[in-house]
Amino acid sequence: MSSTLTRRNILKLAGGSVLGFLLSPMPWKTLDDVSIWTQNWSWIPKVPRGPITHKFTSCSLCPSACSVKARMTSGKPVSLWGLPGTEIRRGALCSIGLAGHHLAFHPTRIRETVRVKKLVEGVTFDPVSPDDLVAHLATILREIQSHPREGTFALLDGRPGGMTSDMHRLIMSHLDASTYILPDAYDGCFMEALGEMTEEPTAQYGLNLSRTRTILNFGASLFEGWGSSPQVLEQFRSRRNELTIIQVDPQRSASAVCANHWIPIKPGSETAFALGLANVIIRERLHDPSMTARAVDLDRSKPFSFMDLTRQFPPSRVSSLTEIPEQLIVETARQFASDKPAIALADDFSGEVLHRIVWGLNALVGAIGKEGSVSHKHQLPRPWKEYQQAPVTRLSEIPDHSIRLLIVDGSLTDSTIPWSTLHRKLRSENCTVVHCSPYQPQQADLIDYIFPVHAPYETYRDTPTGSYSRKTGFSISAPLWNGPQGTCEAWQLLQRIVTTAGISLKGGLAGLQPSNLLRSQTDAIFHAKRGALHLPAVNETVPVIEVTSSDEFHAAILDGAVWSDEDVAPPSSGKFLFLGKSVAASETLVRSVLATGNLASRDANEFPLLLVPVDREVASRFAQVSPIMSKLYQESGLKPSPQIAHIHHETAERFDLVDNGKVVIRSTHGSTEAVLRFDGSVRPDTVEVSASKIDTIRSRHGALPQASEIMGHAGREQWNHLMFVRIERA
Amino acid sequence: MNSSEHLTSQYVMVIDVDRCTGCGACMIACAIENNVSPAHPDATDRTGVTWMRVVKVDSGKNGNGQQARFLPLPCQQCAAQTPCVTVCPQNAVEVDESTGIVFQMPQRCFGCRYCMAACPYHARYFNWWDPEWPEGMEQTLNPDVAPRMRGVVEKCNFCHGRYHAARAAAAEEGHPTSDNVRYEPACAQACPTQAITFGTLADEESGVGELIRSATAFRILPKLGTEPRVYYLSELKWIRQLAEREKELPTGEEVHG
Repeated sequence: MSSTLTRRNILKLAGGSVLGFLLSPMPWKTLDDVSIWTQNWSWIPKVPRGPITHKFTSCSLCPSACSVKARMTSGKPVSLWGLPGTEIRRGALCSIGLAGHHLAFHPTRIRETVRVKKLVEGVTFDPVSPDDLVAHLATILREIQSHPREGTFALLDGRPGGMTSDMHRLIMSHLDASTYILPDAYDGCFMEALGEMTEEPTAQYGLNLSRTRTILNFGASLFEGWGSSPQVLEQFRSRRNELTIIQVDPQRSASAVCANHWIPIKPGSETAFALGLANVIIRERLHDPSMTARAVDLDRSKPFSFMDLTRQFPPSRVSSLTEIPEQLIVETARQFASDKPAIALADDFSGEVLHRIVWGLNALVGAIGKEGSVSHKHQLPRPWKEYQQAPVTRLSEIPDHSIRLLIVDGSLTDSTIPWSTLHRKLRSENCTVVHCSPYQPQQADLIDYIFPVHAPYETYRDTPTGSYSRKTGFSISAPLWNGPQGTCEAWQLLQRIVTTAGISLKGGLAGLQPSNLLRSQTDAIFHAKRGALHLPAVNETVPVIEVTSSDEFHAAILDGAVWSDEDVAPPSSGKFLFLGKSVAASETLVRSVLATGNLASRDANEFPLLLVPVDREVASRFAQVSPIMSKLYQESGLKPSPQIAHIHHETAERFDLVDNGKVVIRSTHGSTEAVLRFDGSVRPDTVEVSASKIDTIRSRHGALPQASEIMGHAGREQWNHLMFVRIERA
Repeated sequence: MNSSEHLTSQYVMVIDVDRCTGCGACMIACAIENNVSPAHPDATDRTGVTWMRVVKVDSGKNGNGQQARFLPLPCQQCAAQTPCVTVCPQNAVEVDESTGIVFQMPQRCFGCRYCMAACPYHARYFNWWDPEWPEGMEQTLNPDVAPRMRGVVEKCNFCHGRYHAARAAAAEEGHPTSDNVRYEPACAQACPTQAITFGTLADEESGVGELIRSATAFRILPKLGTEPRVYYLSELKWIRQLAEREKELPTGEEVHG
């Protein structure tokens, strides 16, 4: 039998081989492997592996200081969750707080001491030795001490109120020709303004909203998603049908969406609106007699009285100033004065004048010291006395061109640093500015050196009582990461400079370490023997008097426990000042208020539109946020992207602008590019632009369009400052 | 397990729209939990990846008369005629009969995006870029979820990593493991106003059964017959009309979403 290889045999073999191969698992296994292989490229990050543990701590990003449970893998945090804890800290972490553990790795992180070199094309950061910098600054400090007429030393505290602020003030009390400065606006300054209107300037106030029926809100962050009072969120969740929220806001913010009533006020006319409400309350005799009896300057018989001031703002005039119907002003005043307990709130960054008038409204309806509104609270027990510390000076009180050496503590917040005002206060020549921050500053043109400090969750940081908190409280934000080598707290830099300058620090301040500092603080609270300690690990609350020793108390605080103070009975008497402590102060305030009525001072032809800066809360409160926040700003449009401006379609049509068109927005201060979007909720003749300077978003063109570019000095530092713009097609 | 047991043991999410403040905590918690990377510089609201997306909707009137609300939109986990399952040529999408969760398997997906075109809720997202975290931040990734590469579609899966972890924990504790083990997705855990409730109908303690039977409960686009397992609650008539698209809106009113 001969075997010949025919063409048919070859074809059969080939066909059979192909069929057999396809029927075998080999190709499918290969496809599967290739599929898996192509999804495991070397550049796709691998997830961390290791034992899972949990750690309890607190968030230090804003004064709400929510309790946090951190999930750790191999000792490193992979997620943070809010903890329902004590009544003062509900543990409702906001989106920024949920991603707080990312902040150590922010792309703008500064990891070494740098000198800021200003070039025509921008700034560069050149590393310098921290020891050399300390020696250089010590030399300047010595010169200031011996020749104070040639300029002073000043330290500006970006977020006052914690142990770091105490340390700054203690160290600076040893120096001549030095000033501890607070910005004119900072977190909590609205609540602090109340202290200046009573006979108790050092009294502490908080909010007790458990029975509140009406909240009249002038732009405070109730539901913006961050910096919100956990107490407000709790009341919104549990008593939604019993609580009426009236939002006075030029923009339909998240608070305006969630409020029962939104009053879309003309930007800049909030003070006039508040005075219009006061006018109605006084005219219709809806005010609370017990509170008004305590008022020193309500009556018309005084040179400058609150009653006289409100008489100049009848509803008819306020209606023309605010563009709110007269009837709505009257109805709002009646509801606020009758549906009690009621409280009026204002944004911390809306200016002293509005703060005073809003507190005046609260006084009229008897909201101060009553349950369901403003409550008293104790001061936090401190290991140091007030007289041992350098006095506080507001930035506006500093003489122009007087500062030779300035240290800015921007550890927790950078955006609130009023750089443009600081510029006026610095000597024009031979002055040095050092910025202490974990991140590259958003305005570097004034800065000479940047000293790296800890990012959140890199060191023990105290989280003292939030301004809206009903009671005084204390907890610790414990480190979850080790910071870069060489980073420390801003007060430690000051300590080094002062000791290098040969100035002796008393009371053990020279060798003080953060651990000793923390221990002193917890001992002071323990020895006050007040309040209770909430232990998150076991979800139990223990009275402090039952804690056996200060060691046990300190250990519990390090493990994430939250101390909350006892309730304080409100004082039944005490004088209240609506305007100012002197005739001159009252006159200044009245003049400022009357100036708010003059809203039309602009060139309507050149700049016909009013700028409404939106997303002010992020711009005001946070040094940086996690890049994951781009989900909200860039990838969903939930929050206002700096790249997009919003305008009403009828306004746009008048200026021949199109939806989704590229535009240039110009003011007297500069210009910025943006994409214009139509939005029916935007007020006529206004344009909404994000004020956020948060560096989560890089446009594809490299630039980061921001409202701050066109808002000028005053606009950046006080949100209700009026800014007029024009828009042109790009 | 018979079919009615199937239905009661399947997971359901209920979102109270009137409680949502639009803070975005659910979106961030979801991204962190599921290892979704920060936005690529070129990403937009059309090319980004947000398994949970909160959108602002309004009643259409101008100025003071206008009402608005925030509407969180995860994958609706369709129980019937699941459009993405029907169109996927790779069988990369499957419905787990025991839990009701619609699973996306990125290992099988080759990125044709038919499922995205088919999804009436726009709840599926394509990875246009490789995931990238700033240097060092990859240490913060969730060890329970693998990052996906570019070229595949992904979506909400009711935090499947947590589901498996809950089952494993139940087994470790010696409890008889069942499919409807109690757990909470990241968005529900993060919501500061507790607007998101999650559980099975069989689990009375979760409260979802009572919520979906309330008069204010509704689902999105019910007329499509996809039987979503995500329910919403709102006392506002206009928002229910907007979601259901069943009735003509009053003359002169529009809805924007």
